[in-house]
Amino acid sequence: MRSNAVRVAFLAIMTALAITLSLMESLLPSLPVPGAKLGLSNVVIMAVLSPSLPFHRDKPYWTVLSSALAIALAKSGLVLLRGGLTFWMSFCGGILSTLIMALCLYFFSDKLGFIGVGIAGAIAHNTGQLMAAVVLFDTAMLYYGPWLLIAAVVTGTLTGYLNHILFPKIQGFLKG
Amino acid sequence: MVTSAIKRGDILLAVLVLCVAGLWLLARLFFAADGGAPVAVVIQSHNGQEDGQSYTLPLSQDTRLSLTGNGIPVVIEVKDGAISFVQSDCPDKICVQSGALSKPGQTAACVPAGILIKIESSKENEVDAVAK
Repeated sequence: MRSNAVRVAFLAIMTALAITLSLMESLLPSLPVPGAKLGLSNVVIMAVLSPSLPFHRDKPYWTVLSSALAIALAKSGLVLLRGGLTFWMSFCGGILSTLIMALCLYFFSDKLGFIGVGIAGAIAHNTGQLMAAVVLFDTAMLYYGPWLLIAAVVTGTLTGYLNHILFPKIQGFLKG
Repeated sequence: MVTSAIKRGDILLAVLVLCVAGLWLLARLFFAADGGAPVAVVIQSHNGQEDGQSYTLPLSQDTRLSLTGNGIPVVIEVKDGAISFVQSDCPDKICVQSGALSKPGQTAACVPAGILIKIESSKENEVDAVAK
């Protein structure tokens, strides 16, 4: 019972954190590739998806995944105010990156560290975003494809490393 | 629990992705459309549906184009053989930061306003015109 309350509180804090981080990030100077972002909220989603969180252990992994998807959705919901295509780009990027990171953390956690998961998540985010733009807007948007891939390696490494530092602290906090 | 920050798989993934990006850019160099003076095509889409509003502008002639997409006013300028978004009332200004475009294939977009600029070589355009 207690662990369930902790879980709900933790997920609520994480949702608020993901939204706040993505808002704060828009205040930072933009990256040289148009549309590329650092993706700080991916750190939050990555942490939530980690199977080694104490209260995830006795839960089937799909419940963990659905919590993370809910956070991604809440984050995109905020962008809904900005209208159609912007929302779909954020939505496709967020959902795809959450799914890919879950896949990496669940099946390849012995081969990939958080940095690899971060890179995979960033690539998935940019790919989802670009796919939405290509389908709903214009195929000319593919021009940014290779640049977004390169940007994803850089931003994914940074977010992955951040989670590498922060995750043990989150874990310690939850245990303590 | 102390684990190293980076695993072998991480490096492998990064290298693989950088290779794909590099090959993509190389392929683009090889298959670049040649010949013909580049022209800028401005497309205004309406909630994702292209409803035919498009403007073709020669890059040789300096002009200014003011459009409004999804209620967002946007100013596009052709100057010194390049085209760019010079002003937009969108929240993130990614379009303005995209800079000036002059080479075929280059693209810039203001997603909130649903306005896109792409550079085509006028040769492609002639083929299009004949086909139509």
